[in-house]
Amino acid sequence: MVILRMIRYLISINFKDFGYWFWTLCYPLLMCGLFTMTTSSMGGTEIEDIEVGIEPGHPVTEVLGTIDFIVLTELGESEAVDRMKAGEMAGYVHGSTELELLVTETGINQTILQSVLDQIRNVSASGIPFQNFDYDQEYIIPNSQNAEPETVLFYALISMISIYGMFSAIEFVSTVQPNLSLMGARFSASPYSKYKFLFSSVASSLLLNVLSNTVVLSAIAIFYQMSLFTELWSTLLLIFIANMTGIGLGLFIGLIPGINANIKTTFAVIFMITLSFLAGLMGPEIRTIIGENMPWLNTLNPLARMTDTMYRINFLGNYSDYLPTIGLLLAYALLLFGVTLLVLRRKQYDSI
Amino acid sequence: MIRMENVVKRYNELIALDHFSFAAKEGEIIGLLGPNGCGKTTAINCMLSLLTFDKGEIEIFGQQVHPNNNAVKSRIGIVPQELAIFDKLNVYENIDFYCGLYVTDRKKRKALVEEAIEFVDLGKYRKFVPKKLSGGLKRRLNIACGIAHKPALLFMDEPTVAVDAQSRNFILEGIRKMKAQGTTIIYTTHYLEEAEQLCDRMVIMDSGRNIASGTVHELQNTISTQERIEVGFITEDQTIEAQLEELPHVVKVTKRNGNYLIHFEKQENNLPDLIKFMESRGMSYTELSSERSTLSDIFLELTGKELRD
Repeated sequence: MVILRMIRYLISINFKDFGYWFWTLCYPLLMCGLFTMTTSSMGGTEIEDIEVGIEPGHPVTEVLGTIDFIVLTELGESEAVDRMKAGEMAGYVHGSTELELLVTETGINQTILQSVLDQIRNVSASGIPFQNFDYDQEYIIPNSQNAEPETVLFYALISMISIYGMFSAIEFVSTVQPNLSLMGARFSASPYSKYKFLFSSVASSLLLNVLSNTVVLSAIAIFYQMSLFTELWSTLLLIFIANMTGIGLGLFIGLIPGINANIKTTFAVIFMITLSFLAGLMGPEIRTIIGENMPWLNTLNPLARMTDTMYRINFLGNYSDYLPTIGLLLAYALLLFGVTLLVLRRKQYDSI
Repeated sequence: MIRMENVVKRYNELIALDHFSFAAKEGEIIGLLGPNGCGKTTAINCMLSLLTFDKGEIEIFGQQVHPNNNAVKSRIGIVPQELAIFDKLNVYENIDFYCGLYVTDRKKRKALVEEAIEFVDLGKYRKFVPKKLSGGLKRRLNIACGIAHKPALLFMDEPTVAVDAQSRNFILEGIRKMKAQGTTIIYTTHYLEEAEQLCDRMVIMDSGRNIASGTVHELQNTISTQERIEVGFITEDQTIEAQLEELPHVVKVTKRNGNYLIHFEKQENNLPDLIKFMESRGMSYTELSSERSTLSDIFLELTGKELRD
């Protein structure tokens, strides 16, 4: 009951904050409108050509050659590796008995290529040899959605709003620390447990942010008539876990000593916008550039991972990255909660 | 009720509390007086076990202070100098929020919150958010948040700073009522007349040390200047100041608003002696008034500094 009462008050504090609703609801909806206007002028685009290397004389050369967006080049493995490292080629198909794909980095093109090869394997597994392929028949069935790289913008936006819980978490953790706020002194001088407060903060931030995310997603579907989620429940789980990561980030930023909550919020905004920008919020090109030059950044950036994974599961029906992304987001959340718990264990301070 | 013994608190090179000791009995109002940075708030934070300290002992309710001692914490209330209230919660919610940190029983809490609202006379404003309240009303709300759970020991850190006269009187009256109900209050202030009116005993702090403590009367007895007599003469004479200094028990003679201010040592017959002296010298005076040394004088003599008033 004590915790429920605290959750109610913490929700109430945010609920009455116009700024909270502006940033969690109005801002993403405005961004969606903006994206819709700008991307509608692009028209229905197709997947850009993917440069693929193939072992000379490989049995699937003809099959791959019939696919519009694949540009095949026959070459040796070492030359292919060089070209892949130079960013000129997405992958190299080889292996006489097994159909193998060699890549030097991961990305959307590699994922698409892997999906194509998986389908060829599946067709082959059904007993139709490569040599007997009927080239007039569509063995590779196109996904239900058109290829629209600009949807990355929307996924990046959804990724961004999923971590908005960080802002309320910053406020809450500043409120409970006597070295950060007078309210913290009142808290710490009372017998109320900091852990109960932390739990209440996480629960209230989570509830509010999930609610606002739901409203935004519904508005995207209803008002903007966009069908971004073919894999709804998997995507919602991903968003939920990202909410935990966002709250963890907020708690962590909130713990930084010596600066007030407003400066922390500004820092969090800059940090979030940077992550979102790198995840493709300002255009998918940035992701390509990072993928080519700093692929590790895409691997570590939770928003880039989330954007990628939402695109893959909803657009390509590819779940290969789903669990690793959830694992990464959860690991971040647990790490950040752990640090917060460790710091909040402290009850006395050298200076206030 | 409180015993603080030889507490030392250092912030790197700075000594915030220098073997600071003091004690408070149940039901007393103790004034902690001193200029900014003298260690008042540090002393309170050590008592609240928010701050670590390097040396010494602190006991509250006969128990050593410790951040995990919830039994002690649950009997303490604090009213910080700055407002520590939630902008987005209304008056009732703010008080209920803080009261709920101590009191879990809903019915009991509701009654306590109502009582606190009545105590600070914010009944008309119970649905108002703080930004709609005046500075004085916000201060009252700040106080209500600290007292709603009826603490046995209350720390009030300059609760009347930047408060209008009406609210200040209201707050002081409330503090007296709490004392009458048996609450022990540790009160820090810059306003010396407030401390004189309100506090049973005072602790004068400077540079983290307890330089004097006791009742106003006891403190007055600790300093050399006990009484000041102001005299205005009909005619201005260059020799008046020198003549007045000849009087026995005079510490010094200064001028104030065109009159002479004679500072006397502790002595019972200063005024009659002065009148006799002036009559014997044929000195005609127009006004004559006597005043006892104030806390400000005491502070000035003990520390050599003026206390901001």
